[in-house]
Order: sequence, then structure tokens, then C-alpha cells
Amino acid sequence: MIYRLAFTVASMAAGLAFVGFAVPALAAPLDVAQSEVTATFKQFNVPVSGNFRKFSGDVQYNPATPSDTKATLSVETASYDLGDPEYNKEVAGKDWFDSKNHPKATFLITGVTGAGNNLQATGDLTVRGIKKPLKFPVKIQTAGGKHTFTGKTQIKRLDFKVGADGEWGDTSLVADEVVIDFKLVMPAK
Amino acid sequence: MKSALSENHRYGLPMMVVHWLMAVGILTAFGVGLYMVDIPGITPFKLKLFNWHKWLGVTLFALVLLRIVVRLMSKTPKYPAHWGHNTVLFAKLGHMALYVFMLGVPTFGYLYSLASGYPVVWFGVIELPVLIDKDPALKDLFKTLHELSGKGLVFLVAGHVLMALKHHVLDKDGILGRMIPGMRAD
Repeated sequence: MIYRLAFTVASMAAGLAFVGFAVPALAAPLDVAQSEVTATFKQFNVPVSGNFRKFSGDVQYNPATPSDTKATLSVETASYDLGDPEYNKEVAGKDWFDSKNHPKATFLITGVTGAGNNLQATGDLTVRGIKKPLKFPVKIQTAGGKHTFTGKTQIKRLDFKVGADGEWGDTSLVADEVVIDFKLVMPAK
Repeated sequence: MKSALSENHRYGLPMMVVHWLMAVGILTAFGVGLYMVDIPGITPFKLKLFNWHKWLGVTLFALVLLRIVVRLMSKTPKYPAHWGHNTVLFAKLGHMALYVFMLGVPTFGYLYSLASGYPVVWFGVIELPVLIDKDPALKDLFKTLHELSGKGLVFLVAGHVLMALKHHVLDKDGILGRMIPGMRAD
């Protein structure tokens, strides 16, 4: 008990010391090759995943002030890859992403609250020009000279008018819920 | 006396039931399979057909497993006494090939679906095991194996039907009654 208390006090002190020496966070571009953005949906209850092959972005992060974390991710909607050219063409088409008129989807993290293993990110997502707020847990790890941000959030495709018209609007066919998984990697220095 | 004799010459009712269920199922799955792959683009109807085809395939796989168990537990009728050695051998090989393909076609189809990144959820309810991960190279391999073995199975079924008719009509073996409930078997 006493050890645990001592440890807690010590780590709090260490944390305070760290904040004292905080340097301003710098935005660094993503290491795109190591980062991943996946969207998973269900058709007939079958989970189907695809990766976005083309995206770019930058992250502003300082381990001393995680609450100031900001991230900007710009995803090319036509690069959503389901592993089959016919599916990819359909999804980029006007019923779904409408990539011709809305080539990019943007995903922003505007702040992070909480501490340690319990971080909550707030941000927003814009798809087909429709912007919706998001709040989801995020994990930040620093190892091997890299900061890695991982998290997932569930959205509803119909909120963004994705596949909303005609038969595709039937959510018993393709579920409304879509889970976005991301892994964003940036150099630690 | 007559019934005891004819029982020896016929398959049991469970075997007959599963035989005819599978006959209808295999031809339906084949027809749907040929039709669905030719629908251009991606439409809701096409997705429905793909799912129904997979559900039917899994059902047929379960049925053939059940059939093998039933077959091992029951007595299969003897071949007609006047059949020569080669005729019996040919029939046995044909039946064995049918079983191999009835197991193989859905297995390849299942693996093709998994390699494409689509787990199979039976009737949209039961999630079946994901044995392999998404893999484009395996996808092409299992696609080819599924299509070729599917055609092979239908070819075998056609041969099976033709041979049964040949024995029944030309050789007057009375062989159809072995598998058709209520029909006389000699």
C-alpha cells in the first residue's frame, strides 16, 4: 500500500516535471507507408474490410501535452480497396463515395482528453461534403523513434449519404454502421 | 418376404432423402453460380445471389458429411449379380469421384470466399470459421479450383444420370428403384 502510494506520488511528480519542460508541439507529416486507414462494413452480416490506399496528413503531438494533439488526415475516397476491381469501381461511384465530385474525405482530431491508457479523441469526419463530429478512444505509443496513434470509431454511412439512395439504402443488405480503424505513424523527433 | 428382399436391393429412406435434396441443391447452386458471375457490376441482387449461393454451398457440404455418416451406418445395396467386374469397378469409381467432388467444390468455394476477404455467415446468422486470411494469390487459385471442380461435378452428375438411365432403360436392371422412393426395385 505504502509502496503504491509512494509510486503514485513519484510518478505524479515526474509527470509535473515533464510538463515543466514541455516544448511546443510540432506538426509532422505522417509516415504514410506505415500508417493504415481501414473501413469495415457488413453486407448480409458478413464483415468486409477495405483499406484506403492513398492518404496524407500530419500530426501535432508532444508527449508532455497530449491534450494538444491534433491530426489531419486527407483520404482519397477512390483509393478504397476491397480487393476486387468491380467492387472498387462501384464504391467510388456516385451512389457511394461519389469520388468524382468528392475526391477527398477528411478526418480531423482536434483534441485529446484523459491520460495514460484512457485517452479520448475528439474530432470530425467529412465525407461527401457532410461533416459530423466524432469522439472515440485513442491509444498513443512511442517506440523505435516513432509515435503510433491507433484507434477505431463507428460511424453511420447514411449520415454521410453514402449508399443512401435506392436499394443500397436498405441497411439489411449493407449495414448502416461502418467501423473506421486507423493507425497513424509519425517520427518521434 | 418380398419386402425383406427388396430392402436389400434399395437404399434406405434417409439415403434417398439426402440424395435427392443434394441433387436439387447441386443443380441449383450450379445454375445460380453461372448466372450470378455474369451480372455486370455490383448490384444488390448480385450480392444476394452470391450470399444465397454460399449458404447453399455450405448446406450441401453439411449434407454430404451427413450422407457419408448415414452411408457408413447403413447397408448399401449390392450391385446386380450379373454385372461384370469392370462395370462394378466403373460404378464404384464414379460414385467415389462424386463424393470427392461434392466435398471439394464447396471447400474450394469457401476458401475462395475467405481468400477474397469475405467470411461466410451462414444464412446471415452463423459466423463460420475464418480459416485463411485475405490473400489475392490464393483467391485466384481457389477461384479456378472452385470453377473447374464445379464444372467437373456437374459433368459427373450428368454421367451418373446417363449411366443410371442406361442401366434402367437399355439393360433393364430396374436400378432406378434403388434410389426412388416407392418405385419397384428388382
